[in-house]
Amino acid sequence: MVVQVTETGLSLAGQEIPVYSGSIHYWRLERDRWSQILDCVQGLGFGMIETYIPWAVHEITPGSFDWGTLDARKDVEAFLCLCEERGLRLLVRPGPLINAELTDFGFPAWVLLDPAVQARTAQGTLHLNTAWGFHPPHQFPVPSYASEAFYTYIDEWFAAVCPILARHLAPAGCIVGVQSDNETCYLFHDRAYATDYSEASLALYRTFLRQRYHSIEELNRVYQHVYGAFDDVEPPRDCEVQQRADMARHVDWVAYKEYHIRQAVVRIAHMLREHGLQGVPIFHDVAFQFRTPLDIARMEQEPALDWVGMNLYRNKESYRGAVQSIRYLAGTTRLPFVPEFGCGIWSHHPVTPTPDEQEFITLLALMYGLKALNFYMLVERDRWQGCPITRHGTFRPAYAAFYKQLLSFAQRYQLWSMQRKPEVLVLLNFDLGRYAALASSLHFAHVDLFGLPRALFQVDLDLDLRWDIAREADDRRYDNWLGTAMQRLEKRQIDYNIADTHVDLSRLSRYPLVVVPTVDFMDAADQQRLLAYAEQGGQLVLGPGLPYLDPALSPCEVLQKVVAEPGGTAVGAGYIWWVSQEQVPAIVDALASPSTCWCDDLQVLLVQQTNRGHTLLFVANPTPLRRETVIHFLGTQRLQRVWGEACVLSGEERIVVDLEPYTVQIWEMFA
Amino acid sequence: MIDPHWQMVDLDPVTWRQIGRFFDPGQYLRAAQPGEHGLFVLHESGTVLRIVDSKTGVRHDITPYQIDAPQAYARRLYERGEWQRVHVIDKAHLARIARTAQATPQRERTLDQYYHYLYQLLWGEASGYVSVPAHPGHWHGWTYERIHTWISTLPSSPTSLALGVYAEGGWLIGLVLVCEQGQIRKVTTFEALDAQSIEHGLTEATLVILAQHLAETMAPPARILLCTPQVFADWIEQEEKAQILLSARQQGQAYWYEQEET
Repeated sequence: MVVQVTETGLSLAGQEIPVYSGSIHYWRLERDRWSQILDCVQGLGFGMIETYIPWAVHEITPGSFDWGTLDARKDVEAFLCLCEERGLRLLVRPGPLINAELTDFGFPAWVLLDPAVQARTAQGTLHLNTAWGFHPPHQFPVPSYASEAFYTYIDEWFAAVCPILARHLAPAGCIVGVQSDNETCYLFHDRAYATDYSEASLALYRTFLRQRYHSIEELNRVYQHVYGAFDDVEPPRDCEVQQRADMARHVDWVAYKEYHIRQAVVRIAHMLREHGLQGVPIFHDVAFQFRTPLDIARMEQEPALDWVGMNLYRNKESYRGAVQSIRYLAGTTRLPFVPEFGCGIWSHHPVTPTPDEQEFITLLALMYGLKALNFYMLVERDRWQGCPITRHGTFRPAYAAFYKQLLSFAQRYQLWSMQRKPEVLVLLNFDLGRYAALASSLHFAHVDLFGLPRALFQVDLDLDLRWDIAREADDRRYDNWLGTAMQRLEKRQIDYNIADTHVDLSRLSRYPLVVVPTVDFMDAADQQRLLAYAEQGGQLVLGPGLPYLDPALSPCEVLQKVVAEPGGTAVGAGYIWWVSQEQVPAIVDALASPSTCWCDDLQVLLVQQTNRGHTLLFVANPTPLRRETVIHFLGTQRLQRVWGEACVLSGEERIVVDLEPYTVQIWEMFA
Repeated sequence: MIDPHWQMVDLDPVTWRQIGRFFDPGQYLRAAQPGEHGLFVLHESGTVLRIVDSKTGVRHDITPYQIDAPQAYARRLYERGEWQRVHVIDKAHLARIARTAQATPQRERTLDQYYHYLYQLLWGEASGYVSVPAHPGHWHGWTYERIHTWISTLPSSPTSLALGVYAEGGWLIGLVLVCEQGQIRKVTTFEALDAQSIEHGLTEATLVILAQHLAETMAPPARILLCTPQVFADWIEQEEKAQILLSARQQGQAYWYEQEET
């Protein structure tokens, strides 16, 4: 591969290419403003930009394309040449799905209206894009990513667009990365029994079952049912679990949806390669989900995908979600990357961010280990506002100042190379996520509009299990085992990353301590991986239960074979600690190394990053109140403020800092 | 009303921050109000599936588990005085809404028509979704029919509408719509205008200059409303809208322009 993905960005012929990028939609900007707009982009310090290539904008009637002949704004090749003249690198996203707040999300209408393309809900109806959430300005039938007719249309689009892109690939050209599809996940209608029940999807589901069970007899044994052939198997269309024997069919449907998404993204990646896009990495962006039906760890293990990122649009009040997402990316992915990092917002969003809010969330994400990001959008356009550059090629000063400062700061400290060194990895139990997905209901279109409480969607299953599965499966709770573990780490100001139980062993092995909630069931391969981690010398803390079943609730003894009772068990070179929720704080205290830098105010967040002799201390106040706190450390420290107003503080073992609401300060530390 | 290809450009972030709260279409459909203490009873053809209190979570102590008359059941619970609203929802009704709404691609309906259709499906069946107190049938006095009729009465040729809300030396909201044949074709803000047209703040002079500027650069204005934040809030939330504006004009807190009938 000419362009390589590294842990800090991209690399071309040994040269590091940081991924600090921003989005521009060339076709939405007047052709004679392109140069002026790119001047602004470079004026802010950006060396990389990103653009979609919108299918419906270019294919104006079936088989007929406008590449600038009719509308000069559509001359994508001229845009690519302009980037090359200026030495700008480029990420391209040719779809087929792009959204981009376009009417019909960038799909040609004749594709959407072809019945052979359309997805189907559990009720057998079309799935309209408005089914879950608000998607102005018009509704359309969502395509099925299992439809061969859909892939035929995509192939025709790629046959037209890819030769143009192929002429501009690195090293000679500006393109250093290509995205396969966009936020592939049933257009946000991601609940287990919502969609896709089209014939094509059901055929793929049965292929999935064949691959999983190999024979119908084996499936019948697990399902405790008598099917004559795989084609007779019908998926659940709501939560129909009455007894343990019903679980396998439901778990398989949930797992199929993960497979469906992964298979679609991989297939589109292969199509891009076959149409000549070679030598540069292919990536994918997940919208926001890091539980089923998205499986980011397994998606990144697909050879066709070089790296996977997750988009992030957060306001200051929801900063916890931003921190969790970045911790997850840092714990799970090759290159912690946000392909769409909110910069401005879409026009139907309820809260357009202020410049201060954009600064706060961006610095917070960088604080927790974000290495690569694409600001979406860097330049305003139709149906998007609040960016540093207007569509006319002028700065919006209140917004532009931050990005200019950030790019300069990132360059000065090589921010993409700074390292956090958390020693704890918290694993989300993927099987608990699947359980939460399958034990739910009301997956009908538009139910999200009616203001119903979340608990109304849940289904209580009486499966005679030992632990409270619904409680442990809810990763938003603070009062379950997982919540207790995370709260304890935060209270002790111990930095940690997040991944899930599908993450590979090499990644687990980077951490001396791994913490994972476990109940009655867990996939055998996941148990095996956790066991191997402990055998290699890791400290594995799990609970409240010890798995003795697999997710289909068949007997499965992997961990149980080596752990006989609660408490610590020596396993190979390491330990497995099976602890109750009440014991979690004590075991965290005993096993996690205490932080060497902490503060009195637990509302204040602290993270240290180091690189090449530099140590940066990020201090964040994520509350609406001004806060003064004492930062403690070992020995004498001098802190020089390197983000914001220049200032130097020094002290023996303690320094007092004063923080405005919703701000991040960055200090360079000198011992 | 909403042109499927409408253009939304030059949106100043201050205006957009102020009006963002209007973009949740669910608020115009649902009975549940923000912060309200509600009880939600989900049943399927009379058999209770789940009961959730919006403050305390799942409730297992509420009986009976069989509902014969949803309205009477909801009324009885409401009269206990524990909740500000009781919702009794038939799961089959929610399924029917989804099934009916998605039966066809619905391309002939504009997005606003589609959401209004959902509203009719939600509340058109007496026992499907029972709310006590009942859904009022309007949102702070606004109804879809009223707005749709009003837009429909505008000239079919391009015409503009403007809203300005002024406070503390600046425009908190400066919104401009360009309509044609009953469709909103373009949405923009005062940022797209010549700054001189709005520099006089909340005055009669601004109204005159703005009307002239809109006519010259976008489309002849059909209506312009300029007011203070309090007048705007009252106009949105109180049902006697005309009276609020008349009173505000007398106090110099609102000015408006209406194109003469032709």
